[in-house]
Amino acid sequence: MNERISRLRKQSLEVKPYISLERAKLLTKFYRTNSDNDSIPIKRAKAFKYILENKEICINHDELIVGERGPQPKATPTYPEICSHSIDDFRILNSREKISFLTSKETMETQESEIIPFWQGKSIRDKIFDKVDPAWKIAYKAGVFTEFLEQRAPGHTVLDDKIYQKGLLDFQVDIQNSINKIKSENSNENLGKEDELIAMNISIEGMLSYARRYAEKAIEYANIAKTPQRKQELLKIAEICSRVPANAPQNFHEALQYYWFVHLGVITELNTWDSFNPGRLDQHLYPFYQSALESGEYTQVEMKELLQAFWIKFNNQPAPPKVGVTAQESNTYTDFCLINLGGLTSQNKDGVNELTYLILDVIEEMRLLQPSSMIQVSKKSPNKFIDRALKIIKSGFGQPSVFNTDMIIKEMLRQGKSHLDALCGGASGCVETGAFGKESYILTGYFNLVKVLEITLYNGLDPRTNHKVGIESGDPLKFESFNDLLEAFERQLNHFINIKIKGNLVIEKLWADHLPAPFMSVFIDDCIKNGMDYNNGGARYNTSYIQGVGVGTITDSLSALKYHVFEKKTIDLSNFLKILKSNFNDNSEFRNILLLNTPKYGNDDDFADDILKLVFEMFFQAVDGKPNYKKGHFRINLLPTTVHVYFGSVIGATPDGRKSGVPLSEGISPVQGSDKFGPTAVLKSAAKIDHSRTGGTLLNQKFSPQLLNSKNNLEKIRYLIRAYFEMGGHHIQFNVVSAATLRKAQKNPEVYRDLIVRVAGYSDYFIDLGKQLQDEIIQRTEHQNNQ
Amino acid sequence: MIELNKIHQDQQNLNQQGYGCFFDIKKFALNDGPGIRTTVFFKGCPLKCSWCHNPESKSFEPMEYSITDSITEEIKVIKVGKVESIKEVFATILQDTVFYQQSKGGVTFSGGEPLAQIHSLNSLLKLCKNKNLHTAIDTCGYSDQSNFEKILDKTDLFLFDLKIANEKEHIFHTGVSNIRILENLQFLVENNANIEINIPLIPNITDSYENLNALSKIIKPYSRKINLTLLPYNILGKDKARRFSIDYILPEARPQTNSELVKMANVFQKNGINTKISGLS
Repeated sequence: MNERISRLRKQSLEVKPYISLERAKLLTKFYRTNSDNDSIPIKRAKAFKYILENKEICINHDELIVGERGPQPKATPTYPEICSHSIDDFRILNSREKISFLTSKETMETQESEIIPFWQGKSIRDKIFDKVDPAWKIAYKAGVFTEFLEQRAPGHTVLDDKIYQKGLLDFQVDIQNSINKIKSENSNENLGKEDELIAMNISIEGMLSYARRYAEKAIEYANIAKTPQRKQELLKIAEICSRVPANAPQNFHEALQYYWFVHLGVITELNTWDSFNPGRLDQHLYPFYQSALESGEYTQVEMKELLQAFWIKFNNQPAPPKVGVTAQESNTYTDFCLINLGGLTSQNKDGVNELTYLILDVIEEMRLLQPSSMIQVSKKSPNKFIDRALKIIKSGFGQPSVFNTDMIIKEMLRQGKSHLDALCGGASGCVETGAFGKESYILTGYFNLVKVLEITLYNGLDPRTNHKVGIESGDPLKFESFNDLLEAFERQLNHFINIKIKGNLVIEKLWADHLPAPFMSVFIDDCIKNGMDYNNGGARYNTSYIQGVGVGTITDSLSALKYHVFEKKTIDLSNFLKILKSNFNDNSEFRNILLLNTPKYGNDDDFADDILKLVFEMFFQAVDGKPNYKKGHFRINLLPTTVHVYFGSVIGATPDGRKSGVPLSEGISPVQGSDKFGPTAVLKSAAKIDHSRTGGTLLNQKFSPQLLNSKNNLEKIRYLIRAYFEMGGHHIQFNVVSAATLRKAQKNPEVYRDLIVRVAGYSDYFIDLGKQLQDEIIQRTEHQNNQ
Repeated sequence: MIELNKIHQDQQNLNQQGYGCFFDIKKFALNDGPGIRTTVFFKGCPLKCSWCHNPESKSFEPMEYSITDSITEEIKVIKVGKVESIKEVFATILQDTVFYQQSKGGVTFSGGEPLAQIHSLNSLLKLCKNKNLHTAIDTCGYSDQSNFEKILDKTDLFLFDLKIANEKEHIFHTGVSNIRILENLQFLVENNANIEINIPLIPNITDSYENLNALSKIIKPYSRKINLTLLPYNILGKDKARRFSIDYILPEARPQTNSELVKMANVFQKNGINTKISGLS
């Protein structure tokens, strides 16, 4: 990378994230002073416009792509209309060792005197906890599930190619056409639609003025620029900002700047979970790349520099910190932007192009936490493409992860999406499948499958608190067969899933009613056409996911019960439960049998894997196809982010030999250390579930760097990927770090500041992870090649 | 000797009944032939190489060893080797078929010495060939020629070990003469078998230039038909012997340096033998 990029990158790495109340203050001021009797969407749009018209304009020294969400890089806003941080929250954020956010005294004072008093009781979080059932709260508190939408907005969508063809002025025309059509129809169904469309229009006005202010600022800086070169650059920036996002981009630089404005708009409007990203970047930018090379307008080197500058902008925006800091549930600076590379074109041809390789070069050189990246591998993808990505993976920073395009398409077709929309889609967040630019596919929360088993084994009681949290699914001591146990588990599972879904219907409605997202709605088909907000079912497809967690742990636990209690009859259930309750105190021998001589998932052993299939089927049947609030459906996927640590902390010892409080297995990976026959057996086991009936599964494989040292072995990893995808696997990611290195990093964090590891669906700085998670990553099986 | 014959007899009986004695089955084996492979280790070897890196695999029957756990320091008794039915072993082999197909890999029979259990080996090879799997045999070459005849048409690749050129030295370090081994190698070459020769480089035993030059002369006539791989010394054997409390008579030695390895390879290359060094890309 050149000197400029190297400097900007260093700055991005070194600046400490801090809390900025700029957005909160502007928003509060707007709501306090605006007395217009507007509908909610219009008021939201006006507030958005007000923020963009008044927030500080930031052009960093020497940069080429402009725009920050806060007044400076790493200045992290809050969203008090969603949830309001308490002063205690801020103190913890300021002082905690990991994922800290500097919070000044002034910020604390403003929060206390201005922000909290205004938003108390009005935030959506307050409304949610006010409206949900007591049964929901009991299950939530017991750790049966989490809820995404209590602190962050239902985002989780990705942009398609529309902004590269249309400017915001063109979208305004579309909006006007839709208004005209609605007016001409004069139907009852159209109530509120006009307001929503007007709101979209106002939000566009806000963005146009924001871009204009950047153009003006750039000219202002150009006039006082220290060098003629910088002056030229600033004038160029001014020119670009006065063309986009108002108009469709004409060249590579404009395309990137346009996207970046849209990105800032979306993450300023709300704190959307699994942040918005450009999606299939190599596809979208390829026409600009080609024409630049043909006309000579930009060289490859220049375009690479622009991409690198673009990468830094992502890294400058840490994920907004949570409130009621539990520090365990998904705590990270990363906002899960996942750039998709390769895959198939809209014409069903191999999508890998020259720009794909250039972007891979950028990823390799930048080594930044954000944005994250992935490769889509279809049967048509060339080996060269996978091998290039493996070379980056081998360097051990957890990117890119590897996805099966053919399976992603199959999943979308099963959910009823069109073939074209499926071809243009991909995966985002950790591993979640979506139709880019056309779907709201929100994650609603993680679901603790293992906790449900524990509650089943106590006939509805939570042994941690002795409170009744579930239904009486039957006295387990009276179960005569393994089937009796499974049936009880299924009843308990359905009970909690129903509570979760019922809660989500309430929560989704609250979002639709109170916090529409008119700006984001502009970019997601068919919100304009339908005159409906993204948060109100305006998208072409509306999916609500529930993410199952702990499949490895629950499979091994049920396997142990089946094997020892019901088949070998080496122990009865009553004694087994006593041993669990004692956390294997004085029973290390029995625990060893459970750990070493019991069929386990991840070994291509049908005894265990058939149980996984049963659990999967129950979970799938309980969730899939249930209607959500937005006329779409609930679906399942299997991923944990980092919640397997929290979920493990609320569960006592489990029949698989796991001790009380220890993290659960993550994604669809086997329980840490229980896979004894290497990666082929793990992949075989993992492929036994039908991935096409999920919206994504997450499989983590850890390799020691030695294994990937020779070219010959790297090729074999490619075969491994191809074979897994041939069998129908959705996703695989590789951690390539030796345990020894990780232990060193744990001891001397300061030396390993930039050590990035794959956590679970995303990469993170190792030293920022909690000790427990660090230990867990160290323990994950290393597939050493002993020969 | 009588005892050994008895064991052989037992082994033969076991083999006739559709069982074999195995030491390990390793999936995702990357260094035993092309592609992703499963390597089946037969237990028992007619050679007694002082440097053997699987010393616990030498005997022809399952054995119990006391080993000390490296973390807890507890002493555990573990059983090395298992009598398994050919059917079971083949079922395990078949589990990774999808990976063999993707990678043009297959199965490698290693040991111990697979040909020492010729009946089981032959049955497994037959089953593999019925399923069109690529087969490789990792052999020390010490077996009746009739055994090689039996498996010739079912073996896609022979990984043939050569160790010491001088017969007396060979007897001293491995317990057997190398005449039969060299005859078998010639037999395979004459029958157009696909052969890769492996030479384990044991410091001061096999890696002397005198020995390497002599081996090079032996291989030279076959140089158009075979490839050679040099296997650098590693301390695995010594470490395993320690863990299994097996006497390890080899003196302390260090692995060859890269430049030494290149020089050693050169001995063969200058005789026109296609030579590579394992682990160096």
